[in-house]
Amino acid sequence: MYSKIILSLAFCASFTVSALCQYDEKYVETSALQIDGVNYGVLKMSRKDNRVKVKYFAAKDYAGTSVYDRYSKWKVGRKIVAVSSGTYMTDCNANFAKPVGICTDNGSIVNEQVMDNGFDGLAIVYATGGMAASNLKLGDLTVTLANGVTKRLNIRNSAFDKAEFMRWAQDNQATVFQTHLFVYKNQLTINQERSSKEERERRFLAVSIMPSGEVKHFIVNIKKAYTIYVASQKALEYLQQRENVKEVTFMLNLDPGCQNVYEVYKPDGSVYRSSTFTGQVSIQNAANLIVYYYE
Amino acid sequence: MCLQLPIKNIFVWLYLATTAILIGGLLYLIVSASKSDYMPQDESMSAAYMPSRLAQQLPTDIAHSPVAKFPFSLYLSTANLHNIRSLKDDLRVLDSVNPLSTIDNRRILSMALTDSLKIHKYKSNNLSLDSLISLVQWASKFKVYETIDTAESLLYTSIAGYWLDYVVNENLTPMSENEPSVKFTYKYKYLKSRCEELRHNAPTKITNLEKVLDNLIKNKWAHLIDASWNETSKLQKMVFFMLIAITLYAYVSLFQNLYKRIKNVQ
Repeated sequence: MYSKIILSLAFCASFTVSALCQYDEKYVETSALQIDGVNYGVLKMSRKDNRVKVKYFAAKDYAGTSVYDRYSKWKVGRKIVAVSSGTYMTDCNANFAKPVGICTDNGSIVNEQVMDNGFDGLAIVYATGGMAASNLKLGDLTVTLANGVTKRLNIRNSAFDKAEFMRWAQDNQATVFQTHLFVYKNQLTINQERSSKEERERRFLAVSIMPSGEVKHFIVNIKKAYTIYVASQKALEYLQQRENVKEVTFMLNLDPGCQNVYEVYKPDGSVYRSSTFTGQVSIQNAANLIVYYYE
Repeated sequence: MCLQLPIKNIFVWLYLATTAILIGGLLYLIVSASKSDYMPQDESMSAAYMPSRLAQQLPTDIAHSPVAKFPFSLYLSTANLHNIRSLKDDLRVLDSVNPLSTIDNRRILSMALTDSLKIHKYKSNNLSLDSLISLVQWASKFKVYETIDTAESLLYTSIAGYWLDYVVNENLTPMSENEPSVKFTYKYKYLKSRCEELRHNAPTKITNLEKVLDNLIKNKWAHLIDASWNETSKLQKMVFFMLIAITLYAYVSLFQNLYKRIKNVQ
């Protein structure tokens, strides 16, 4: 009888602990390390079992509710893993900021402007919590239209294809944003001569396939000012050599400029205070947010 | 007794001269911005209706390879682009000669009114602000038709989207880089606002000086100091600290001299 009571108590305790934990450490890991004297903050999230999911808040809604207020309302009852700024905005002030590049939020069109000055990454965040990206330069965006036909669309070079894509995004309530694409299918896509020589700290989102076939999302935060080319190179080297990824499917830029929002949660629900896992701007001032959460 | 300021120290003069030049330059930039608010007349979509000539222009075997055989240049030389009835007639003609592929017919008309029209009419990217305003006025009509004539919304969306992308990517954004002062003109601001209203956000290049001024006005000291520290070279940092040192020395010398004078007077 006593053994049954102890077993029941142990079961209840483990259930309670897992209910109270922010996430299972089997799916989320953080590491702060120094490579050649430079601090890296790396957040690794496994997409196995679809426990870790993605959500993107592109802009204020039509009623003028700020991104922060939308996020605050949405996160009630959810276990947040990390929050970061997403793509670039037209203004540093969240009250006036609008996203740069094509953007939809749950099917609502926020911006129809396709940027053609190096914003080659088109990220699609699905309602199921997954994420995919395509290289606009290659025009390899593939969607299944309403008539069931799977079609390859080149939204940068065909106005009609772009119209079909916008209709698809509305019909499927997709969230889409455009940003810099630095790595695609294991290759650096950035040109050293033509890229910006401005040096600043960088943050990247890399979706990779491990040798086991597992899909992992990495947020790599580099705490030293580098040019975009050098930072991308270092991030790719880190993923290939230290994380031993089989393929970096894509690596996007997360805006660390005037919209430098970044928060990572520990397993116990508290927030990391170290500079490798925090941004310099308060989340209340975010003009857009990419959120990882655990279910 | 009149107190004479003994400003003999060269650094003080240098500092005052530099400040005067900076203020003068700033005033010049503000004053030189154009304030013209003349707006071009709207070439209305209610321009006179003319029957479509497309039926006479199409080759007899167009159904075999509609995109390759469509006479884009000939069509554009006679098409009435400002009357939606004429354009709908053109679509009906295409549907009658190529009834099996209506989506391709819309794609052809979209190509005619986007890529081909750009080659036909807008070879140069150096359009004036007035020309851009006229173009946006024309393109924005298709945004309205998109919501009214939903059956053809793909066609209208593609035309409006193409030209608004063109205005922003190939005109407004490069203009703000090549001629920063144009951002402060009324017509540029109108175009930017109009494009943003039509959900085509126009990112404009902000110079470093404008960023500094913007952060100063908004009291974003932390961001200003952090960005300045991270983005300047060692030489720029050295020059900055030298200027600070010279300024402080100038003030110290000035107050020392003033103090001596006051003491002598007493």
